[in-house]
Amino acid sequence: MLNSVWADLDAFEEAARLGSRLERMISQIDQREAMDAGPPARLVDMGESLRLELDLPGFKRQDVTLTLDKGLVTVAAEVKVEVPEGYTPQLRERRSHRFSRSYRVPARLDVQKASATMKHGVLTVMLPKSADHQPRRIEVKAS
Amino acid sequence: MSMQLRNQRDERRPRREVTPRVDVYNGADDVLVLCELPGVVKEDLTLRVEEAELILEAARRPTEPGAEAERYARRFTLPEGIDRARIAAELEDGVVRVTLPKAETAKPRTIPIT
Repeated sequence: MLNSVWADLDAFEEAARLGSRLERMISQIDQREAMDAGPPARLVDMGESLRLELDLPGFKRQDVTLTLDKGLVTVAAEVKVEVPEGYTPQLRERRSHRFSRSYRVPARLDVQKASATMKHGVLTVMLPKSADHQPRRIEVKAS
Repeated sequence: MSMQLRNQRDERRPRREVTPRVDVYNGADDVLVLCELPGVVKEDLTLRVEEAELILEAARRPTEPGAEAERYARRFTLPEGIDRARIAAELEDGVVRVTLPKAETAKPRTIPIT
């Protein structure tokens, strides 16, 4: 009798354990999928140019390849997060990742004048608009 | 030695507060905490120890004029045996690396048999 009660308790605990393990697995999948979509990015219209910003913490300049083709900006990057030698991981939320993502930009760009910087783990791409896409002030004439 | 992590999910927290990604590594002489803080400059990062907690707070200056600064915050319960006076941190490429040295008494020791 006593034995069966304990068995039930064990089964209950086992189910709870399985549940939390499943939850953990799901959250891990979510995290990976978010990575596949590329890092957080922002596109800002600065008037004369467009600015594309990507959060790439831990990335070095040489980890990033940037290509421009008319209205398409492609960023490809790879970073490996490795356990430092002699250390045991206790919590790992940062992930190694590799991605290639294209951003379609709305204005025609002057590809020759584009520039990019990598600072504090943020990639900033300045994309000047081509001459005929520059903002223009239209004078309102009195009739 | 394990590092307890306290999750700070507060419904009342500011909308622009982000929980940054963190790695914790345990070594023979220290515990390393690596935290992703893209866009944060040294001047806008504070690390402090309050009782048994290590508190990391940072602000990311907005690049768009008029935008609200994004805030990063994370707290950790310090394990026993950390030499608090020697905690050091460096920020590089948007990742802060905090070194928590173990006190001599907390290190594993081999006792010679004579």
